[in-house]
Amino acid sequence: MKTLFLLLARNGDIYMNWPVLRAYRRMHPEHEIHVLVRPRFKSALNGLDVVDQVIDLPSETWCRLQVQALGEVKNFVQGLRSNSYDRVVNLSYSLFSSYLTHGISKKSDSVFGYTRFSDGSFNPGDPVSQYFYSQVGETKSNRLHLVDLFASTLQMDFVPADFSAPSTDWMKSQFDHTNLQMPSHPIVFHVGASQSKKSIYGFQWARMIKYFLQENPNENLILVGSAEESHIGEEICAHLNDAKIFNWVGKTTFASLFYILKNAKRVVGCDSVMMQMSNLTQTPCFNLSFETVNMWETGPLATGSAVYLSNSPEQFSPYQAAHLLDQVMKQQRPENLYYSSPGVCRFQGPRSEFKDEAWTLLMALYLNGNFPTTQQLSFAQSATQMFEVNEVLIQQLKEIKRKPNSDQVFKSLENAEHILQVAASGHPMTNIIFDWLKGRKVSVAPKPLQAIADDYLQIHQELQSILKIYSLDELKKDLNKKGSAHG
Amino acid sequence: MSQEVENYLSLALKKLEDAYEKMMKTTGYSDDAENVKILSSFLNEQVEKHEDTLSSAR
Repeated sequence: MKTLFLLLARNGDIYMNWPVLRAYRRMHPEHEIHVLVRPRFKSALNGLDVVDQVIDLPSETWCRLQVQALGEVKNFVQGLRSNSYDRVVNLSYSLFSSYLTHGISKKSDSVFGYTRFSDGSFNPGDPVSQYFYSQVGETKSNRLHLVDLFASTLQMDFVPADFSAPSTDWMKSQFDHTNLQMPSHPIVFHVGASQSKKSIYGFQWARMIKYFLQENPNENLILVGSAEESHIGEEICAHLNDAKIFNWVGKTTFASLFYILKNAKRVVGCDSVMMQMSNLTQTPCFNLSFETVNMWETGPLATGSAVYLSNSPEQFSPYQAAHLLDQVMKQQRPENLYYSSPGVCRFQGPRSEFKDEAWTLLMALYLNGNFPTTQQLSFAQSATQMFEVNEVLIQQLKEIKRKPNSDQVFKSLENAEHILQVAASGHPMTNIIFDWLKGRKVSVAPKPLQAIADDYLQIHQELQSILKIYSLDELKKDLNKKGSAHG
Repeated sequence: MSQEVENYLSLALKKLEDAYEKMMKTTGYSDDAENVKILSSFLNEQVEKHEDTLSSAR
C-alpha cells in the first residue's frame, strides 16, 4: 500500500504536518509514505523519520517555460500516476494542487483534499476540506487549528507522541555543525516572519527586549532568523549595544534550530515557522500576533504558550509586550493574553462578543451546534434581505424543473445569485452563511441539469431554514402569532 | 521576481489559458487539457509570488 501526501505549501505548513504524518504512520503502518514538496521547502522534512520517499516538484524546470514544459508536466504526472498510489492526500489547499491531485490520482482508491471533478470543475473533496475552502483563512472566523484540520481530513486523532522533535542525538549533531556555543536556558527571539503584516519592526523588538531586560537582567537571550532577516538582528543589537545578546540571525539552519528550541526556556516570536517547530520541541512560546493573522489557526500549541494579540504591527506596544512576557516568565497568567489549552479550540482568552458569535454560528453550521441568538440588528437586516432573495432563487430552481431549457430562467437565477451575494456582504455573519452556501454548492458533482437543480434546491431550502432564524419579517410574524394567542 | 520575468510569465499564462479554452471546446476536459491547467495554475502561483518566502502559501 502506498500513500502520496502533497505538501506544496511553505515551511510552517510542512512542520504543522509532522504530527499528521506521524499519526498516519501509526495508524497505517503498512503504508509506504511518499511526500511531494517544493524543493525550496524540502529541508523542513529533515529529521522526520516516518517518510519513505520525498519527491521534488520540478518547479525550476516548469518555470523555464521552454516549448517542452508541457511535455515535462505530462511526464511528471504520468510518472507519479504509474507509482499506483492507493491513496492521495492533498494537504496543500491550492488551485494548482487540485489539478495536480486529480492528474495523479486517477488510479487511486481514495483521494483526500482539493481535487477536480471529471469535467475539470473544482471539487473541494471531503467534508473537512469543504470547510477549509469555505471558512479557513486569515480574514475568516475559523477557530480550529490547522494541525487539527489536517488530521481531521484523514479522520485521525493525535496522541502526544505525534508532537515530538527528532532524536536528541540528531538535533545535537545538527547544532554542532553551526559551531555556536549554547548558553544555558536561553529565551529565543525569532525576529522575522513570512510576511511584513505578521512581524514587528526592528526598533519595536529592540524596545521590547530593552524593557524586558530591565526586569530580567540575567536572562540569556538568543536572536534567530533567516539570513534575509540579518538586518533586523543587527538593528536590534545596535539599539542594545550593552546587553548580553547572542545574535544568531542568519547563522542557523532549520535542522540546527531544533536543538536551540529544545534547550530554550521560551520562544518569543510572531506568526512564524518557529511557533510550528516549538509545537514539536514542546517549548512554550510567547506569540506576538495580530488581527491580520488568524492566531486560532496557526498559534503555538506547546503547554504554557501564550499569545499577545495586537490590532496591527503599527499598534504593537513593546512596553506592554515586555511587561506581559515578564509576568508569563514569572508563572503569572495575565488576563489579556490567550493561552494554549486542550479542547476543540486550542486557545482560551479574552471574550469578544461579535467574534464569539461568529464562531458559534460556524459551529452551528458545521458541527451541529446551536445557532447563536443575536443582538446585531445589521446582521438581522442582512439576513432578512438574503431570506427574500433566496425565496426567489428557490422559486426559480423549481421553475428549472418545469422548464429545463428556458434561458430566461437561467438568466434570472444568475442575477438572483449575484444579489444574494451582495445582500450577504452586508454583514460578516451573513458572509459566513454565504461562504457555507458556496462550499455546499461547489461540492455538487457534475450530473444532468435536473439532478443539479434538485441538489441546489435542497441546499437553498436548507439556507432558507437558517436565514429564517434571523429574518426580521419572520420574527415579526412569530411575535404577531404570540400576540394574537395572548389576545 | 523581476518585472520582466513577471510580464513574460503573464504572457505565457494568457497563451496557456487560451489553449485550455480551445481544448475544452473541442475535446472537453482531457488529460492534455488537465496538463495545461496544471502548468498554468502553477505559473499563476509564481506570478502571485507563491514561492517567495516573504508571502503566504495559502
